Amino acid sequence: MGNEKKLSSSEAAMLPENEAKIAEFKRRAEADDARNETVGKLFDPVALLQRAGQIHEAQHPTLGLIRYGELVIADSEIINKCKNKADRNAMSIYLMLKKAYSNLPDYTHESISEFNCSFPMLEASELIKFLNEQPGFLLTKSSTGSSTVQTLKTSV
Amino acid sequence: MSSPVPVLGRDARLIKSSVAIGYGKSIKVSADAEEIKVYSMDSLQPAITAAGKQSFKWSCDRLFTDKTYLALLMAGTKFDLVFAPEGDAEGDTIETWKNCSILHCERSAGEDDGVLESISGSAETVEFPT
Repeated sequence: MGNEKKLSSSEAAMLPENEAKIAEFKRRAEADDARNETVGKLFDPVALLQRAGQIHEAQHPTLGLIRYGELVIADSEIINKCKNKADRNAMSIYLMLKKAYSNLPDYTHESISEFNCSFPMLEASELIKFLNEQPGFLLTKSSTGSSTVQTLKTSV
Repeated sequence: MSSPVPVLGRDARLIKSSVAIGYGKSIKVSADAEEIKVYSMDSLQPAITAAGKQSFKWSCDRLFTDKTYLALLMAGTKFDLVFAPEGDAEGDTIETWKNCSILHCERSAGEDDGVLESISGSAETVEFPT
């Protein structure tokens, strides 16, 4: 008992089970590289337009099946009309949901704070986190590094 | 003032308690030390200059892990970074940056779970090849 020599990290990295795990991570890295290369090489505006019009569905572990539409250029105009960051966030989420759930009440940039005030916080936080990670959400940096809605400047 | 060590670019394995928990692409490491200068009363030139307190920083472009380890890493769990500066994963030139923690990371929209981008952090010590 107690005779087992504790492996150093460099020795542990050579263990077969760890090498298998590392190989799996490497495969993911290579797949990611390949995906990024593909994205970098192919720009298909027709496909983009088709995708932007679609309603996406995703299964969320706590919220269930979420349906949403992607934000488009016209949406940024509406979002930019909102007075503050909280309203812009709420408007982004509202617009994405509105595309899929047409029976949602109507909100404008002036009344979006009502949406903020009435949406349950628990679900809202999960929803924000989820939508924030979607490609069509403008408030996060895209994989191509495009700027965010908050940093857009209106032309004079 | 500090004296940076040349930057290296390699892929690294993340090890926690002898278990591989992730894989970092394009790792860069740097070591800094505070400069100590001691002056005598009768000279403007330092009588002694020396390297003082050290700090070890690392960064990598992308880090691949899984959901469980991602949560642990984000919670501040420390790990060891194992990599080969000369690019040989199994040679005797393996370096270990010990007790690393993540201080900054980014995540792009659309990335799968378990992928972090532009990660950087610090290590407590470095174990060089003997």
